[in-house]
Amino acid sequence: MSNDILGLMPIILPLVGGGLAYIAYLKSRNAGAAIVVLFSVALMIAGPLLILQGTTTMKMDNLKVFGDFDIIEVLDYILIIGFIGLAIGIRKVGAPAYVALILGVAQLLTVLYYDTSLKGDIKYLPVNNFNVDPLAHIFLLICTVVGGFILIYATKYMEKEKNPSRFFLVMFLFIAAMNGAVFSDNLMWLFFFWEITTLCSFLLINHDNTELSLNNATLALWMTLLGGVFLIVGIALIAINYDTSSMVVFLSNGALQDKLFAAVALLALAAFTKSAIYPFQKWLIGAMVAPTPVSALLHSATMVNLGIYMLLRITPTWVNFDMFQVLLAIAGGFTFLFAAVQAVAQDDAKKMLAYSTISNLGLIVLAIGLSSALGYLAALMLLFFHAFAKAMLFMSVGVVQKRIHSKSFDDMSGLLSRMPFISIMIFIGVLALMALPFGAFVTKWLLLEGTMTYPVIVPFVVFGTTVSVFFYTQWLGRISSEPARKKVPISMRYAVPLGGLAVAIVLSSLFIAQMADSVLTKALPQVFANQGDIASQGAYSLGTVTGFYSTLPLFLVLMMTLLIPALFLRSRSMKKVDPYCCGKPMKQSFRGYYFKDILGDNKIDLPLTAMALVASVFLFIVGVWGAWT
Amino acid sequence: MTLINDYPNWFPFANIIIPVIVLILLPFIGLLVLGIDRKVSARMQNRIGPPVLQPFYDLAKLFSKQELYTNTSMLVFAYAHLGFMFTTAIFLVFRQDIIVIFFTLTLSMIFLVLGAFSTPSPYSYLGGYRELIKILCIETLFLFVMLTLGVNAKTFLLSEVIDKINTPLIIRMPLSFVAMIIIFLVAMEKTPFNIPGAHSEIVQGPLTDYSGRWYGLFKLSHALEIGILLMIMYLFFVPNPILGIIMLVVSFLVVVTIGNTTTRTTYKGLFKFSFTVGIALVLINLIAVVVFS
Amino acid sequence: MSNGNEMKGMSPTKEGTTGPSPGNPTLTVLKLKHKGGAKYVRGMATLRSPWVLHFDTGGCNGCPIEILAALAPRYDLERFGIVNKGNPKMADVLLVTGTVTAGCKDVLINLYNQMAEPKVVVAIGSCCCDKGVFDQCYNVRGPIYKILPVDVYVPGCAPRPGTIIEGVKKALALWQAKLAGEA
Repeated sequence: MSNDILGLMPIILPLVGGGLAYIAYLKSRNAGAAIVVLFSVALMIAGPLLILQGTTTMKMDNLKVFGDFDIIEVLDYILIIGFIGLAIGIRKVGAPAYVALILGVAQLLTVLYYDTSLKGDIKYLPVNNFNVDPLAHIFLLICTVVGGFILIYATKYMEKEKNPSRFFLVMFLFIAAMNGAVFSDNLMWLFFFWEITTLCSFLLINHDNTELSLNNATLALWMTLLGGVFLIVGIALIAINYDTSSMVVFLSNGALQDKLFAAVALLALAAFTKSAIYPFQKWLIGAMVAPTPVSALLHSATMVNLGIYMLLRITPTWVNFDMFQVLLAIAGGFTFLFAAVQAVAQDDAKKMLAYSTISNLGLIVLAIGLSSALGYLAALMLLFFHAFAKAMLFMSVGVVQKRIHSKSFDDMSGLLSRMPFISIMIFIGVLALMALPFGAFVTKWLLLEGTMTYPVIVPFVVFGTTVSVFFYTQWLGRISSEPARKKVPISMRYAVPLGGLAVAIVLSSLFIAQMADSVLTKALPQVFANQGDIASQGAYSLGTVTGFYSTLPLFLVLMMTLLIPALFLRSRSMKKVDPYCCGKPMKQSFRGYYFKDILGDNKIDLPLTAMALVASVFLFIVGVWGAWT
Repeated sequence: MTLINDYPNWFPFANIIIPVIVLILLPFIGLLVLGIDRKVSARMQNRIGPPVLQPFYDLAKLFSKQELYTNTSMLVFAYAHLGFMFTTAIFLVFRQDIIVIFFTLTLSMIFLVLGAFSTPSPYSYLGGYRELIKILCIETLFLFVMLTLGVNAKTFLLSEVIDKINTPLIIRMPLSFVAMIIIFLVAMEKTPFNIPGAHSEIVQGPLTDYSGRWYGLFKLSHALEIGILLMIMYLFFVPNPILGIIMLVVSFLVVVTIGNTTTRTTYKGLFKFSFTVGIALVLINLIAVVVFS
Repeated sequence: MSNGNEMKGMSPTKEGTTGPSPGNPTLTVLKLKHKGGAKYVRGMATLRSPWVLHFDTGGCNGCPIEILAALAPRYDLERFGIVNKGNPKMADVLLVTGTVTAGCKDVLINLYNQMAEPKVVVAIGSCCCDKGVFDQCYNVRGPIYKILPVDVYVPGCAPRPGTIIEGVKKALALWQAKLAGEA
């Protein structure tokens, strides 16, 4: 039992921390902030400790309440009835609330059906209800480290905002739910934690409780509830067809090799809604009205990764079905390319980062759809680096927003002189996502290496990469432009999390070969375990069958040409002159090119969503066809 | 077989010394090509034109001027641009992975754009955006060409790609070669696609506020870029010493002729051209290589 | 003029017969003091690339047209490496025309300050040298020698391209002397 408690520490610790923080914030902000920082640091220690312990399993199968009822049943009902109540409570929003109501009722009916008819016939119960295997380790690492840093950042960010007690309670609850979801082997527990994250997302997006945030939160609510419906129907189908409620048993079932099941398509679609893959991307854009720590934690680093977790977990079910893989890859590629195209047209920094997040998630889905060791590793790498880098970027934008009271790029001129630390963090974050020698580049390199075997993904990867360069470089150029302004100081509670994440990104990019060898390769599913596609050659180099990439020379060049001149260039012997503006003094500042007339949201949103909807329906049909034939 | 492949046997340490010599020669070749370009253009326009060594004189002049600057970040980006262009050349002569080569080249161009944005002149600002659009169009084509090369040789390591070239690739990948000529035309800053360096529209474009030594660094890396492109065209498409030189001369003359007989388009024109004609060329070639391999 | 420092193939005083001629014209002006060595090479190399900025400060536009004629293919100044860069930061020779009007005075000083040393200023046309026909006008802030240090004056209204070229030649001699003084 004590081993179970230790293994569940990443779930229990945030719950306790959330409760204590709630009470402490009711007393005073300083006490609350101290509690939050304490528990964040504890979380950042507990997570890696559990990882170092290796694969951990926790049975937890004898928790019963009210006599004979399993605790998970009771929790599920409480949650779904809570959703229905919530949907009724927000009915003033109009149609979306009623859609959420209908979806909540659908979930309730399915769970009722499951608990009454299907549960008794299940032959293969989970051996361990919670199973922390190497794949879960990666998500645990991201959630605790990035989550811990974001919480420390949030204590300073929410200094003057209202309702911090509820905010931190829900944030801690979210982290607990996220950890619980990746730990769960029991599908009903997975469903429970999945829906808890939906609830937390609604509460956090609606933190300001304005009309706009309520509308956007309701949009997020019904889209993710739709995913929950897909999930629970999929779980019910798994119970019907495989007589099991355990993920491990489901994946190791031999019958999966022969035909594809509707359950797989449903689980994939549930993952799509959670990870904001087209056509389910609109909620993530609307979720940007939430405070920035929410955007950093939920909507870039952790919650949207839950859908990716689902896809990574059920990868072995479609290894023999090329059609499904191709459709998955195309869905991911479509998202990657067109989210990048839509990001070009954004002048709001958080919306641009949201579209960039959707784009990167699409790339991860594309990599998963390749269904090989190469693709799986590429997906894991991008997942890791994207979580760290995007959290860093969101946090930086939050600090900038606090200072200049604007999220627009056009107001960020001269940021390099005004807030040099933040600008450098933005530089590292953007370079980490777009350029070599950092981690996200390795994913693109691996995928391009994979074009040998999967030529169909080439247009998506190529176009998406070059379009991404456009909007990222434009932002970097904007912050390094003039006019020079007076430098402002930065708080430690902003600097330490950002600096910590930056150090983590740089070190893990430099040692990516060792990271791939030790951490990531262990997370490969059994079917890919023997494909020796990627190997590390030496301390700093990765080699595939067709290519070679070494990090150390590139980091040296970066240091010599960017870092050392930036630090040591002295302009004393040079003469400072005015910029050239035909001899007149420079007065104006410039707005950027956003191409809103051809790429704006109101122009291309609807066609893209419609196209993606057709494609998802097609994906579903292919899955169901597999079930009927 | 190609000239380059045989040199490990010539003398000790040949496989290090010869790439270093080639590396040192690349900017010289680039500068020479730029000088010949000005001379040939002038003759086409019925005038004499500067001497062929003019770019060298320009560089010498630039490096002996007083140093001016508007802020320090523009200087840092100049170093970074040249540094990564140099790294691309190093990876090329030491035969590394061609996708890594592509991305290093792109990173170098990104630093050029950042240098353009970091100076506050409106001309460099406009030039920076035009340069970004040019990168978007041309690097897409270039990446497709690189991918076609790799798919054709079934490997992305330059050393093995060169080993596996039995017939000159111009026969297997003619459309990609045409795309390479388009890329060469844009790199030489020739009309109709010289939208960043549009002298009559936006003065110097991205490099408006650079002067003296720093402008010289950009000119040097431009020459290096020309050298890199010429080397790629030689190595892959026609690796033969005699035929290869003839191919380079013919492509050069084609590029210069087009440059002297057309006028500049807008950035929309470049975009439309590269995403219709250019993409059609490279995609058809890629599909053909995939189907026939 | 037929001293040894003549530009071959060009005679600035003959009309209608100037034009491009084949051969290898060189623009050697003064001989540098140090012979040989890196500084000599650099000095000789640098002289072959004088970049020009032309700025008109308000006049009848006759002189700018003549300057553009000098830069056009018929006279082909590019064979001496002379390029009309519109950017003061990259220019060595500043060609000024027109009387310095009120609106252009600060601009002219700004442009001059944005040029890198060593630099020379050539005032072209009577308006520039000493106000010319606009002598008594209300918004004339010239003549130019009150505002900038001028190295060469090319009078005329408008001076022919050949005369302009002769003036530029003298300016380059001074430029070379400045380079040699530093080199």
